Order: sequence, then C-alpha cells, then structure tokens
Amino acid sequence: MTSDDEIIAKLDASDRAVTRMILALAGAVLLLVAIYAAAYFTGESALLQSEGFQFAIAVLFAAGVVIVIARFGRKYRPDAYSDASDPRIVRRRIDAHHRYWRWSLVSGLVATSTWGLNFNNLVRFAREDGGLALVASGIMISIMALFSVLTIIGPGWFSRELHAILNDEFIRDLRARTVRLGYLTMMAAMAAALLTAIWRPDLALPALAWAFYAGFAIPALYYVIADWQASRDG
Amino acid sequence: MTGEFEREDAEAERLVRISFFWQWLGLGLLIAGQVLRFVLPDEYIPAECVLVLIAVGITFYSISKVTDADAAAYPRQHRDVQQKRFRVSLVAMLMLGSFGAGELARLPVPPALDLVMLWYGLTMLLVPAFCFTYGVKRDLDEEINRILRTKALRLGYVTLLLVLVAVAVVAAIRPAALMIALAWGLFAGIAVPILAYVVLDWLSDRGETP
Repeated sequence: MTSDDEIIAKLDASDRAVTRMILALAGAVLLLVAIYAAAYFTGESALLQSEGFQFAIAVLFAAGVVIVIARFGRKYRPDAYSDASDPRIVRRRIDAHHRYWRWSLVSGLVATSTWGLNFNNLVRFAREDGGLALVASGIMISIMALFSVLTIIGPGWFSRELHAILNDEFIRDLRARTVRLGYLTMMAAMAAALLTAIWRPDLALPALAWAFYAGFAIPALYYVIADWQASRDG
Repeated sequence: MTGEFEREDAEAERLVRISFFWQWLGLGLLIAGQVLRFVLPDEYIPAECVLVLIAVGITFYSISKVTDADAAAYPRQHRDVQQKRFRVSLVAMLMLGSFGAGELARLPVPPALDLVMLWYGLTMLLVPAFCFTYGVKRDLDEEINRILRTKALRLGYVTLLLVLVAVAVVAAIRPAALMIALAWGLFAGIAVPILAYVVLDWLSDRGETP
C-alpha cells in the first residue's frame, strides 16, 4: 500500500519531467529556427533547399527527441495518475493543477506563435486551390479559437477535475480581469485591422491574423504572469 | 413618520420624471434619425446629422436637470436614476455608433467618428466611472454592476472571436467584402455586450423608484 505522500511525490516528479520535456523540445525548436535564420541572413539560403541539409536536420531533431524522452521519460509515471483525481490527493495538489494550467497556456502560446506567418499563405492557397488548404486553415482557426475560449472562460468545461479546482474566488477575479484586458485587446486589434484595411488593403490579411494571435496571447500572458505573481505555490 | 415617507416618495418620483422625460426624448430622436437614415435617400444625410446632434444635446441637457442638491437629498433614488440613465446612455451610444458604421464604406470622416463613438461606448462598458464624475463612480462601481459588466465583456470577447472567424471566411471567399465585414464586425463587438449588459441590468431589477 502506497502512502499519500509517496503518490504526491510521484505525481510531482512526473509533472516536473513533463515540464522539462516541453522545455527541451521548445529549446530544440528555437535552435532550429536560429539555424534557419542564420542560414537565411548569411545568404546561404540555397543550403536550406538541399536534401542533405534537411536530412541532417531531421536526424538531429529525431535524435534530440529520443534523448529527451530517454533522459526525462524515466521520471514520467503514468501509473501514478490513476490516483490523481481522488479528492484526498486533489486537495493537496491544487497548486500543481494551477501550475499545469499555466504551462498549458504557455505551450499554446508557443504552438500558435507561427500562426501570423502562415495565415496569409493559407488564405491565399484557400482562394487559389480551395479543398485541402481551406480545411487546413479551418483547423488552424479552430485551434486558435479554442485556445482563446479556454483562456477567457477557463478550462472548467474541459474536465470535471479542472472545474472543481480552477474555480475559486481568486481565480474567478483573475479571470474577470483577463476578460477585461482580452476584450480591450481584441477591440483594439480589430480597430487596427480595420484601419490597416482602409490604408493598406494588401496588409489586411496579416493584420487580421495578428489580431487573432494578439486576442489570445496578450490576455493569456497577463493571466499567466498574474497567477504566477500571486505565488500560491509556496 | 408616514407622511414624511410619502413626501419623500413624491419628491423622488418628480426627480425621476424630469430626468427621464428628456432622456427618453433624446433616445427617441436618435432612433428616429436611424430609421430615417435607412428610409430616406442620401441627400438628407446633413439633416439627419443635425437631428442626431440635437438628440445628443438633449441627452446632455437631461443630465444637467438633476442637480447636486437633489442627489444629496435623495441618495437612494439618485443612485437608481444613475443606474437607469447609464442603461439609456449605452443604448444611445449604440445608436450613434451604428450611425457611423452605416457610413463607414463611403467617407473618410464617419469611420473616424465611428471609432470615437465605439471607443466611448467601450470605455463606458469597461469603466463607466472613467467617463463621468466621482458621483457616477460611487453609484455605478458596485459589486453587482461589476459582475454584470464582466459577464457582458465575456460575451463581447466571444462575439469578437466569432466575428474574426467570420471575417477570415469572408477573406477567403469574397475578398472584396472584407472591409465592410470588419466594420460591421467591430460594431457587433460593441453592440452585443452593451445589449447584454442593458438586458442583464434590467433583469436584475434593483429598481426602488417607480
């Protein structure tokens, strides 16, 4: 029979392992972007097109993923999660759930950060080709809208456990502030998109895409920082 | 004691009546201007603008009808009047905003007017106290009001999100209609939360005066 303390220690270690895996993979993506940017700005962009370079990058990235999972995966304990939703455990791991939710928002921010760059091409492809490109842009728009709704309304409707935990007075107050800032951001971004459409119609689509991203990113960042500053983690 | 209360009620009723007669007159003129805008041809636009300006003037005149002495003598009724007046002002701002939004595609000046009006309505919804005096802040910045505003803003955020999705669809299918979709989307982003706030505030029924 495992004691509660042991279960909680396992769950915490598991959460830390996941966080480190996310950090390592985000670092690898940043490194990749840096390599590409360096090749682009030093005029070696022909290198980016070569098959050998792309193969090398793919092998390096796959090796990185394997190393990260081998290094941190041992600490990841799926068996511990069978007790995670038990009320006596949940009560002692409220801070961990808040942390988990903050990390989810930050991951969403990173995952959708290339959105503004891709949106223009997607809409252009959708106009020219239709079909698959329209489906792809539809999926991207849905993901962005889902993240925005999760930020503003909260993840409570997503799972019963999160609804029970992320629903106290403090977090509701924090979310009300986030809503206010989010609405203001959205309004300002849409007004900016409208003014852009009036003066530079060719830039209307990128402006629209950045309005999408700002409407999610600014309130999410505000929430993450305010929740982290409130420092309930002890 | 009873007589005193009756006198107070009568005085409060007079206060509410003189405040709301002019307020509703202004709102009625604004609505009439809107209806005429859609019914009459474009040559009548200056006349409609004059009508709207008169309506705005009457609205501001109605605010000055209730003096500080009245507010000090009947604080409870005065608070109620302020809350009701805030609702009417929001609808009036909505009318002015739609007046600009209808003109948006044509002229350079109405878009600017429209943005100013929308911004004004927005600040009223965010922090009504920001726009007026300390008395308004005292009367309008209570718990229920703040919760109602938060609900309205949450609905407004979701509306803007849906509007953005709709605008993206319009951009993919009919690029020529992008700007008019953005203009009406922006207007929907202010109209939906304001109407939601007005309805919620009216439903919460805190009215103590007749």
